[in-house]
Amino acid sequence: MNPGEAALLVRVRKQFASGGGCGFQLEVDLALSPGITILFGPSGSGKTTLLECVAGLRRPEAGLIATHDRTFFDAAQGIDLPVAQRAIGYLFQDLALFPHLTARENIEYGLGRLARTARRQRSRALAESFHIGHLLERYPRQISGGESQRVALARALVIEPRVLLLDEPLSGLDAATKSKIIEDLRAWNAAQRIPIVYVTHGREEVLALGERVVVLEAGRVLAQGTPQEVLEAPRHEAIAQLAGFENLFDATVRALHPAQGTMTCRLQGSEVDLEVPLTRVEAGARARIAVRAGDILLATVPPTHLSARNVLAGTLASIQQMGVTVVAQVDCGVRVEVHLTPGARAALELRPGLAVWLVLKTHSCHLAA
Amino acid sequence: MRRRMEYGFLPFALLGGVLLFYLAAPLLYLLFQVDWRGVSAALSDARAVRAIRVSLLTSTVSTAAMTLLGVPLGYVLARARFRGRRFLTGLVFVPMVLPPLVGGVLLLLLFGPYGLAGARFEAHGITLVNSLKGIVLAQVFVAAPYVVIAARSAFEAVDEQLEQAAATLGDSRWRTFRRVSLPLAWPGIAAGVTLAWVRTLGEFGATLVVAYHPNTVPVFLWVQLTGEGLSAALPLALFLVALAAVAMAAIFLLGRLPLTGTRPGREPLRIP
Repeated sequence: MNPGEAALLVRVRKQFASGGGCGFQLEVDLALSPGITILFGPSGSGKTTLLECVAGLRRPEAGLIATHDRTFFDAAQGIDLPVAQRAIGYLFQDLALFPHLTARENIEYGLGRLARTARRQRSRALAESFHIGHLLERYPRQISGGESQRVALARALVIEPRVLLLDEPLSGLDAATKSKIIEDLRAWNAAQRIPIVYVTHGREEVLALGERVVVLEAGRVLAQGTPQEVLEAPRHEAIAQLAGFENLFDATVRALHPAQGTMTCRLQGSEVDLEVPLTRVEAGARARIAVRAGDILLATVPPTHLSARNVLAGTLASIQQMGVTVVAQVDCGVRVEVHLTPGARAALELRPGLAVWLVLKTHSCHLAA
Repeated sequence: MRRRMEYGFLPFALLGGVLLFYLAAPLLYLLFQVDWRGVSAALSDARAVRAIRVSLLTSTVSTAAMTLLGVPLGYVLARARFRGRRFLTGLVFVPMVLPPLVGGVLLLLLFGPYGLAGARFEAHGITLVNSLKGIVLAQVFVAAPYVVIAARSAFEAVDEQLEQAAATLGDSRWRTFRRVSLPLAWPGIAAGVTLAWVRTLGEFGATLVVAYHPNTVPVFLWVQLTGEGLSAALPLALFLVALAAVAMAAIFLLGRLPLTGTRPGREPLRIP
């Protein structure tokens, strides 16, 4: 993509220290289109640093940060626009609402140069669309977490930013509140069409709101694409872990079956063989296999007449309900985590010690590098 | 709800109690020793009235000057990143650890009629020594560190992210300071300013050297004590104790007394 097509171009190099003190280099080159781009990665991968560079809170050593009509930073030309002039909406992880100002004053903070009536109008309209019109006269400590998020979001949006940066803004919220806020944000952006960068390490958020996801690890872009492309078929172990593949197995490739497009892998420390999609490896090579707990079928009698190539016999080691998900640990020589619905648990009368069979489709087994 | 102290604290409490008694006893004793009927007469004596006016005037000017100059310094020391910041912070503490008398000597050296700075003022007909200006110089030198240190820690306690948020919303450094940093740090700063104000009222050592005349209350107290004895000094002592009590009350009301163990500015603000 050339700069003309991208709504936000971010080419940044910056040395930075993560929590442990061992510094590493942030080096990314991204062209972001309007709409929500998820920046996904483990903590310490450089997500926040990248946002801070875009906002101007940190200065990269080299690179170019620009929208189609405005250059924020250009090391080559010595351009470094001050934060205050970038017109970037930034939603901080801790929200950073001004504790000494009411919700209204918080929202109107960035409108200082407008006349009072115009300010009132803008803040009122935005507050209504974010469902916080009724608490404008309250102070931040008098409103709930979800309401605070909405106030902070309204405060960032009221200045009509060129770019919106959200740093794990919804991490403390329950799923329902979260999805409502995301809906409101989507609705707002349908009209504005500005680039929104949304940092998270939660997989659900990636799948729920991303039009596009960029996976960052140790300061580098590991993968990018649609959430489905990137998360459903993880090519990297880091992504597999992040993407919620509960089962990660070390394995050795035993045999290749090019005609079937599969290969057989022996899981380390067990007698278990899995048939997985063929990749370009040699027999005897090591592999990492990622399997999502929700992709595994569980049976209480030996299943027959299946298309699935992998049936593993085992014993139910433990079973417990977590929210609406029932998490079962099955011992098949390796420990496998399986997710079921409470209904399935009841129908199968599952209890620890029960003999069970696990069914894994070949294409549910992803190879992670 | 009544809470009882844990028994393990007993030895600590006994030792601490001895000190506490020692600190409080002279104050209590003063209240019994003052000739209350003589107090108003002593304080309406012409020289006493003049001393009180000198003290109130100079300490007001000093406090204003310290606040105007000390708060910005505290802000820079808290927020700006530059080489030598630690050194400069240490420098602020110097007048605090220096004996005030020595501070006075240093000021006299520089601002006296033959001093480098004093001579320049003298050339324009301005005498610093033995004037109200000299008193202000002495008071600021001794008490300003209280303002700077309180301001610095109050600004440090303001979440830096709030200032960053203000910047992303279009505020310059100055506007951020005015709209976010200062309002949030103000209770802590006000406590420091109050403390400094009391310190100026009580300033004796440096003032004695730089400006014996006109007498401030502490200097006049010294004159009375050496000239007429203890009983003549007591009403003035009582006056200074009363001002100190007012300052303590002010700091308590600000809820920022370091004794309570809360960091200035860290607490949730009292919001009207």
